[in-house]
Amino acid sequence: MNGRREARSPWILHFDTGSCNGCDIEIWALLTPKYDVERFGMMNKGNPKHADILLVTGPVTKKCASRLKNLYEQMPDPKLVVACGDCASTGAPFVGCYNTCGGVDSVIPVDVYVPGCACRPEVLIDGVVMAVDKWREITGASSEGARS
Amino acid sequence: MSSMFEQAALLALWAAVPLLVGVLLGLDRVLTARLQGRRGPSVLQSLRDLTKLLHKKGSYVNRSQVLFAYGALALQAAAALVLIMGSDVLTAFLLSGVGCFLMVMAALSVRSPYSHLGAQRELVQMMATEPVVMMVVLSLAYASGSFLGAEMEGMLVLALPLAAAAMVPVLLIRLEKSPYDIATAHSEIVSGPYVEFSGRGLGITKLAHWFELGVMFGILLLFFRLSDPALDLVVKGLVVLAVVLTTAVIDNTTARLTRWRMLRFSLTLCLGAVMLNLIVLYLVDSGVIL
Ligand code: SF4
Repeated sequence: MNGRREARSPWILHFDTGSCNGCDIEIWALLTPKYDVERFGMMNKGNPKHADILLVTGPVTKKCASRLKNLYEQMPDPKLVVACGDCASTGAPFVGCYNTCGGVDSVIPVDVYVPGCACRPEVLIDGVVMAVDKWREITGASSEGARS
Repeated sequence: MSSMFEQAALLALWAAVPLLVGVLLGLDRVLTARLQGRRGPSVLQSLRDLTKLLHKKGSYVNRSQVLFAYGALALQAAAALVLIMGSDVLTAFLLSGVGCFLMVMAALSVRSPYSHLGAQRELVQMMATEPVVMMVVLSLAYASGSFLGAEMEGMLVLALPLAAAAMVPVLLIRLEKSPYDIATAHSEIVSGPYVEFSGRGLGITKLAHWFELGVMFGILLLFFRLSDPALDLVVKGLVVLAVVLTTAVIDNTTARLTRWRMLRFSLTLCLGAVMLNLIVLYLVDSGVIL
């Protein structure tokens, strides 16, 4: 029950770690009247201190890695990370490239992987809903003392 | 006995101020979404956001930031209580002003340029709206002959229509719409003085802001008082709804002001309207005109 109040108001931070901008455009599409994610209480906050869910796009270039880590650390707990698109999930099609880390999970822990090149807005919404479910689990468990 | 019952009812109303303001803000979000062709969130969304924030531990930069935020909440809540209890309206207004100033201090206590920008934004906002609200309170006192809210009887809006109208742009600014809520601006700048708060601390500053809005709506409602309690409630409810609708429509159909234009607009047109109203009322009272 405890996680329900958080789950109804997920605030989002979006960070581009060197994507081709294909996935970013799909994330911005979520705010348009067609997808209107505000109806689920989601809001793009653009401030790590206010955010609950981090949406990351791109394969994480070496220069971006420390910034991504910094943003992640500034977010208050409980926080969740959604890797948006194939680049962010696996590093493809830049796998083995000299200047990329090869996916978000090589730098910070990822909770949900959203596939697609670019990921579709509908799948992104599904990804955030999965993240919210996970959030519910975490906060529910912490309220029972299973997690500090 | 009845007076004790009345006091308890007023206290309950004070405790419900965050709920009422939260619903109004939710309504504003729904109206904005509909005007933009979206479905929008539930009317309870702002309350859900606040509950989430208050339950999130978050972090703080230093202790003075937290202290100032709690101070701002205490002062704004005290201002709302003074207003609801029908005491001195000027005291309520000044307490709320000091509460706003503590938010400025909270933002300045952090060594972050965005937070300092937010503090300056709050100061400009105070400069633009405080003189107008001050004159509104003075004209209310002049028209009713008392500074006590409980003694401001009757539909003062009939004597002071321009002063009541001047409260609409003030609320538009205090609701942090134009010129602050700019979709194209960097979010660090849009966040204003709240940029360095997180979790519960952010919730406390939001709550302080909601009480501040409660005080502003409360001052507006002093213009509308009827002797029949049921009718009074209906009229006040309609006025609040009309103001929320008007601010949402103005916000979505007009271009954003710059801060400088906001200052000029409110210190000339709004302040001028209240002054003009006061002068006309004075001339009517002293029998020079009519
Ligand atoms: S997954 Fe495809 S669309 Fe998305 S950032 Fe990578 S290359 Fe671009």
